[in-house]
Amino acid sequence: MSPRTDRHTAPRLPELLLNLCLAPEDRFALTGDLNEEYLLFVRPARGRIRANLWYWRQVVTSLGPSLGRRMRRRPRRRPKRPRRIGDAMIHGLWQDIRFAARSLRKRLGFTTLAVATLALGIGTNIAIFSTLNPFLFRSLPFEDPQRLVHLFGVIEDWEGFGGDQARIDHATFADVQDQATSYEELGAYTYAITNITGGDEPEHVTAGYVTDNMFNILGVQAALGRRIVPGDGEESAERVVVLSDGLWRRSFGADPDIVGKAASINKNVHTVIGVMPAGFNFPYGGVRMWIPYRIDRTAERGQGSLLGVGRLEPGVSKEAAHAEIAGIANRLKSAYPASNENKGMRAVGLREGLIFLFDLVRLAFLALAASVALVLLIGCANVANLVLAWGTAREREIAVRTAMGAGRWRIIRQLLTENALLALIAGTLGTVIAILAVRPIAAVMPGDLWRAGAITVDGAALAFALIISLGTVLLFGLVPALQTTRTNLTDALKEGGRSGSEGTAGRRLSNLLVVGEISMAMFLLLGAALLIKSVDNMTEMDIGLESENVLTAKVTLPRADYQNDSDVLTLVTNTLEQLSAASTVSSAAAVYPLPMNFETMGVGFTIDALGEEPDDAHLASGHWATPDYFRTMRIPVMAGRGFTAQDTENSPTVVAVNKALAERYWPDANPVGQRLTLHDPPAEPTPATVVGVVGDVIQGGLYDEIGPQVYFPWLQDPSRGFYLTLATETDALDAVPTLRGVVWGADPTLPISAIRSMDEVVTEALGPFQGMALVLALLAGGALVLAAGGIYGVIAYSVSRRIHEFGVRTALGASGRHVIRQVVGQGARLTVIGVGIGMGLAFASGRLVSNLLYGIAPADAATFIGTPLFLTAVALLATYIPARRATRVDPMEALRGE
Amino acid sequence: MPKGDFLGAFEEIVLLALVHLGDDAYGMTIRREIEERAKRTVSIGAVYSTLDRLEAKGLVSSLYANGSEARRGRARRYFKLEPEGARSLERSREILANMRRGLEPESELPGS
Repeated sequence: MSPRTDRHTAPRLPELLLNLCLAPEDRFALTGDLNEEYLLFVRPARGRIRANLWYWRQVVTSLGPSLGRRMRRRPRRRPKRPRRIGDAMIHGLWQDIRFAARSLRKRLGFTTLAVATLALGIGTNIAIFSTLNPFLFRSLPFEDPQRLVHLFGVIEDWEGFGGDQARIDHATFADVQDQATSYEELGAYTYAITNITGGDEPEHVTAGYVTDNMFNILGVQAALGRRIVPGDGEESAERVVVLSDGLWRRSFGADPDIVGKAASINKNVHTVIGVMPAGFNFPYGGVRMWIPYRIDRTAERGQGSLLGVGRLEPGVSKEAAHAEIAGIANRLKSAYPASNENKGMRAVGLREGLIFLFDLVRLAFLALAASVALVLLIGCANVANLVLAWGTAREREIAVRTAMGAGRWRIIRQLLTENALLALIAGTLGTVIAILAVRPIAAVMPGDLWRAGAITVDGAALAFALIISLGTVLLFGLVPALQTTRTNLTDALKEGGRSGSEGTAGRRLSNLLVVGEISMAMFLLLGAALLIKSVDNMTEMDIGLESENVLTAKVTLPRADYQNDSDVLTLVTNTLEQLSAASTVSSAAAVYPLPMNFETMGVGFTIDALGEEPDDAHLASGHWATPDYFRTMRIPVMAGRGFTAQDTENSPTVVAVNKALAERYWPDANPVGQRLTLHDPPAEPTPATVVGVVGDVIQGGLYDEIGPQVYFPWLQDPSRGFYLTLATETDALDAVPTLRGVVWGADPTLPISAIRSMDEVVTEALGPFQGMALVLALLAGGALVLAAGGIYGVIAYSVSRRIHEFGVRTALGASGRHVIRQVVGQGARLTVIGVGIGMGLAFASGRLVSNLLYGIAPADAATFIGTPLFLTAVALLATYIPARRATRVDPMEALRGE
Repeated sequence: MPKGDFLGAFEEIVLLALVHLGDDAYGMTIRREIEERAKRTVSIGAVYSTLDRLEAKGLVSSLYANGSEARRGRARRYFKLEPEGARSLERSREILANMRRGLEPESELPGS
């Protein structure tokens, strides 16, 4: 009972109870009624106590119906709720996401376009990341890899194919082992092609020869049996071999009991002691077994064969290790001037050391990665423009929300959620694209390139995908979100919101984006054009020989069977004679090394006529060839003669030189008959007579300048490894059975490997460059399409916003040409600025890519004129289409539309 | 009127109260009107519940008006009979009349 009844008010407690049961909108009317009746009729008529009883009874009997009513009402109201935007915005992230999903679903066209653009961009980036990861980023599959360094020799003042890298000779390496203090342990390796029998068939297998501490240094274990351990390299130790997983599966049928079995390697019996795990490759994927090797410190200094791997003492930096080894090299130079002159040594990280041509590979990879990143950036700019355009279209919606009390950051959060959802969908799709793309990419990557693990979309790639997906949100979503929410409330809410007035800030931003897109597309197009021209130059360039209808094959004679040079000579002479006699073969020859096969041999020489000392020795590439070689490869003999069967060990030493050498050293004299001296320490200097001048042939890499080349009669200085070359009358590969028949007829145990037409050899040398040019061309094409789409979108949008203006202009007598000129002019301004910036960037970064280019300057004038004109034409075409639409505006229609 | 939608007995009573009250029909007066005429106690909650249902059917409409001092300023919700409501009252009367025909105690038997 209320203590305040004397003040003529209804009791509060029952009212409170009633309020709990009533829907808010019912409370006032109903309790008001009760109050009114209580005070006006019940209380005066019945007295306080009975009136209160009456009140209580009313409340209690009303509770049931009121609650029922509230229950009934609820389902009717619920569907209306989400329409109250302010309400939906107050709640959490989940609501944001659901709202974003609805909003994206409503704009399906926009969503599809944005997702497709981003998914392609993100997908290519993930694919490239996954491709580069094993080469550049993934940590080395060795123990504590940052403490591993690679050592190699350096020939100073020499920039041959593969830079100035060289091998270290045994004695020098022994000195390094004695003197260096940076290493916990230091080992060496080399590799060579061997003939192995014991498996299914005799075959050529590249073996890694490693010091017996090498696996210890790397910190790797065998998957089956044991690894090579210290002691295995002792002279008295049993000959053992460790197989790679691949070789064990392919040639030994994955025999689980392989350990302890014998395999004959170069005719020596070795016991298999272990099989390495599947991913293990050292020093590169082509090496399929490992044999213990001993450093021979008594060997003569000179030609080196070793590369080193060391594990640094804890706390010693690579730089310190490099400084130390450079110092040792300097001391050895003064100690052994005859052999170590011009020879330095270098220590680098193991990854850098193992990847062949690391600098070039890294440059090419990074150029590729940068290109796909640029394409993604262009894609982001396009999507940003879409978002921006939609943002302008949504001005009203956003203004309404703001008017209803949503703060700016609240709206930005909502817009960003939308964009994040977009990016995540695109990221997921992109990952799928990457997974599909990685397999064919992995197939074309050179297998001989060292890598850490397989090329797959792994966890790191997925993390990368997430990062770039969210990164793109910031790139394409944040600025438009900030821009869109900076709307003037009253303007936007004004009925009809004058559609002719596009916000200047918004327009400036989307113009900026288009300029950015065009400049990036320009940059990429220029890069691609340069590379394509460069590859074109390579393909069309005169190699100096005719590769058509030439068959090549590698043969290695085991020293055990061919101990004397005379054995080698007999076999080769007979074989070549028989091959030449074959009906489809017009000529046959042996050569070492094969041109364009990434092999070169260096030879030092001095010109006697110039009175040069050994210290003045020049470097030439050396080539050993049998008499018919020049005929077989169709290399022109320009003066004097080629080699004959009479140039043998018993005749005076003769050489043929290339045109470049002859022109450089005897510009005014007849080179034939000139004398030079050959320097190949530790051998004594050998005098030789020039008997002929032959055409320049590209020997090593396609992008090398042709330097001095010296040919030696192979018959005078035979080698056990060589290439057979056959000029054929029909397709080169038709002669394969003949080749096999003749060689195996002479010695059935001889493995023949690397059977290829010379055309294939040339193509393989070009392959990586062609592949790179193709990829870059595709990327640049994508960039071009995206940029053209971008400028089209912006101009088309601007035209649609200015329909009214064009209507008025036309009504006032502006001609179609005038309108077109105005619209295209707008696009042209953006294009010209973008093209200018792109050209500037390309020009500035030209020096960075010059190493990838052949026969073309990084600032090639024709490219720098033609490509921009092309891009400008495409961009103007893209603006012309909406411009045409602007002229078709019916003035009355446009004015009525307001 | 929606097919098959018979008025409930209490609905009919509430509608008839509105007819009696005319412009002065709001929660309190409606409740009192019913109590006085029907001579039985009616809870205000039941009245509102029925009025809500009738409004949803489109038979009555309501609007809020300023409250008085006795209501401590709380708004009155006035109810008005809609034409549809009047028609349904009429129909209901017919139905009941039809149903009762021949059942009256004093009625003459056919043919008598």
